[in-house]
Amino acid sequence: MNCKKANTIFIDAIEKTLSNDEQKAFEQHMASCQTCSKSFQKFKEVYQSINAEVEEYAPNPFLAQKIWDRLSSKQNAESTIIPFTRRAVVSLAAAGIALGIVIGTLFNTSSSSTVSPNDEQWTQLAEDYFPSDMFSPYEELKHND
Amino acid sequence: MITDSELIQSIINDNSQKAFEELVNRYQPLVTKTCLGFVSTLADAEDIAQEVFIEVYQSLGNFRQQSKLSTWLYRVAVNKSLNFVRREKRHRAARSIESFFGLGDNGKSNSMDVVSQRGSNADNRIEQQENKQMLKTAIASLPENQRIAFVLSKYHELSYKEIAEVMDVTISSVESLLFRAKQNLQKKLLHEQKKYH
Repeated sequence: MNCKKANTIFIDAIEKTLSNDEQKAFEQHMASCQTCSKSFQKFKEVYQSINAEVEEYAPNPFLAQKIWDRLSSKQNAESTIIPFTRRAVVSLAAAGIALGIVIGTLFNTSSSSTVSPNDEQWTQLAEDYFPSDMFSPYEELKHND
Repeated sequence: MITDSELIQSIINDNSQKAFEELVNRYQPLVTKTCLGFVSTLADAEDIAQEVFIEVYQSLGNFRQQSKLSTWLYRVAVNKSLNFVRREKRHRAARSIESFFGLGDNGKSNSMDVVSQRGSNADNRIEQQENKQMLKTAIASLPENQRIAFVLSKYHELSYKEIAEVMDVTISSVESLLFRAKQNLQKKLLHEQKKYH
């Protein structure tokens, strides 16, 4: 086994998941190459720090009580906030309806009080094309009589 | 011993503090150790564990008891931990921008922390901390799915089948994720080693 190959199987060597032949070749290489051996020792220390972390872990005896206290204070806070929220929602809805009525009324009044711009335009056009002093369709009819 | 199902019923029906505390004590190691795989300190892991149990309490009514409680707890713990890590990343980015523009005093406080730590601990303790930090950094750099599979495998020694259930993937996916996780981790750790030694 060469250095390049040995350096790719450090984790397998630590976890002992190499085949017997590979393990033997790896060990032989480590015995003959000081650089790889040193590198492997350091790698092993770093990789096995997970085990130390897991083994050192001890449950916190106060955690359950702490969580229960947080839940209780959260429930208390919610019970005081909810009525306020409901009141706020009802007030906002009422204000929205009132505003809608005011805007609707204003819009309706302003649209009904104005003369349709189309009517004005047609009257103006009729006067431009058929001025009353020059031509009256009724006069023509009178002469024909 | 009271079963998980009985504890859950007691919490849902009677809002029993005793049952809830029993549930927390029973599953605290599972949840906290899972969180510990994703973050650097036990304090952070315990903070996330609190969030996990609060969510569990609030969602117990929706828990379908067809799947195992432990599977559900692993999932909630993994999700909460990943959210925590993402939030921390954003905060770190914001802090580095602040310090770049001369706002805040993070650099100062960090260096003081290091000095006090070095002053108070023995050399081997510092070396252990450095090793742990190196490993945590390497794990944190793995893609999310590889990281989850690796943490569940190394911190809990779960079988491929159990990891597949928690991650909702096939067993062969787990095998592939773990294989790639170990390859990546090996490369990163060797790279880090060469940088420092």
